Amino acid sequence: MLGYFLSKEERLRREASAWVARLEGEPSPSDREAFHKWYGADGRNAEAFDRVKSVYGSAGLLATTELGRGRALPSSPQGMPRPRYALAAAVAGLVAIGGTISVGGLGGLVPQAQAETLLFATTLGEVRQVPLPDGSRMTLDALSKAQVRMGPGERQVTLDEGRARFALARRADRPLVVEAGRTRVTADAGTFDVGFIDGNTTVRPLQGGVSVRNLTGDNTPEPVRLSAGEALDIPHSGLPSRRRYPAGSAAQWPAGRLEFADTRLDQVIAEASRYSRGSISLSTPSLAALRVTGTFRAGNLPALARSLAAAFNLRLEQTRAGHFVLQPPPTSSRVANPKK
Amino acid sequence: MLRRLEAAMLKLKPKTREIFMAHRLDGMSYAEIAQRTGLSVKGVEKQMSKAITQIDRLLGRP
Repeated sequence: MLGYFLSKEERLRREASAWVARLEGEPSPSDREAFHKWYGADGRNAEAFDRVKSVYGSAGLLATTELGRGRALPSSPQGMPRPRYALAAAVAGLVAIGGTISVGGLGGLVPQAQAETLLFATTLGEVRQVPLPDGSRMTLDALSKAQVRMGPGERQVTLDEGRARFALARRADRPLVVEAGRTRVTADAGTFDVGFIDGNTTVRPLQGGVSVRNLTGDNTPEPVRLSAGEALDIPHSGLPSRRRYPAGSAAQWPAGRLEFADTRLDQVIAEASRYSRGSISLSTPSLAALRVTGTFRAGNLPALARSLAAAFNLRLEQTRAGHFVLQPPPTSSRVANPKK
Repeated sequence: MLRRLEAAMLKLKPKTREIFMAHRLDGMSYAEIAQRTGLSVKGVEKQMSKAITQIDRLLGRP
């Protein structure tokens, strides 16, 4: 397997790395035996292994870096930070869902060099961390597309579809410009989300402020200044509206948690469907207007369907694997408390 | 040290990097990672090996 054209040093490095990787998994007794044989066969084997093992150990420091913190493969449940949604707990009809995120295909991100423009796209359920050349960070939500242009005089992202979070590098000497539809968002520092889904744009600063301008310029010639705790919705058609977020609302979608505060049921389903195959449909349109408050784990549509049914006392039918229909109950429409 | 670690990570394909971090930082088993990514357990081990090799290239002092 290892080519003889490799230097001795490189060959040892690869062998030692392969052993570290093997032993990190679930080595069989014969693996262990083979390892001891290899380790003892040559002092240079032992030396290389010990060095690689030690270097591997130090890689735990990655947890302290931006890159490490932004890792996108979901962590095991016990490794996840505890959710902190005080607001949700206070509301009757709270739906809390366990389970894990499923990330559909890791290879969906395709950066393509195209002059100075980088194209990024994510697939269903894939939340992707994108370090930008200037040290800023973009987190691309599932089913999103973005173009990044970075150059000496330019720092611009075009969000073609989906949602992205931008965490700006401190040392940035020029503002980051994000365009989504007919909206242009400008920020010098801080963190903010931009969503562009079905032609509707949402801008939400999480830390620091942003300036939002309507590119068509017809009715809002002056840029709107938004600060953390506020959001601006710019619908496909109609007038922009500004709203406030409750204090403590944390927008944890990059960590696989979807939070809703008094959100229409159809919107909740649309959002959750970005992370899972399958579907949840409503037997009657009137259900769409039910309001949902709570925090959900992305990527588990069946659990969401069951919890919604329990929370609103609806009947749940699975038409085929992964596809659910919520229906009004045959008798009472009383809202029940969800059962744990 | 941190810079070199990050540099090593950035030299990897995103898939390799995420698999490495999922195991090293989150303690996910190869089997769990395999299940999530659709790779075989051996395939995950191979990605781990690649990542470890790259880190040693930039950090190890042979």
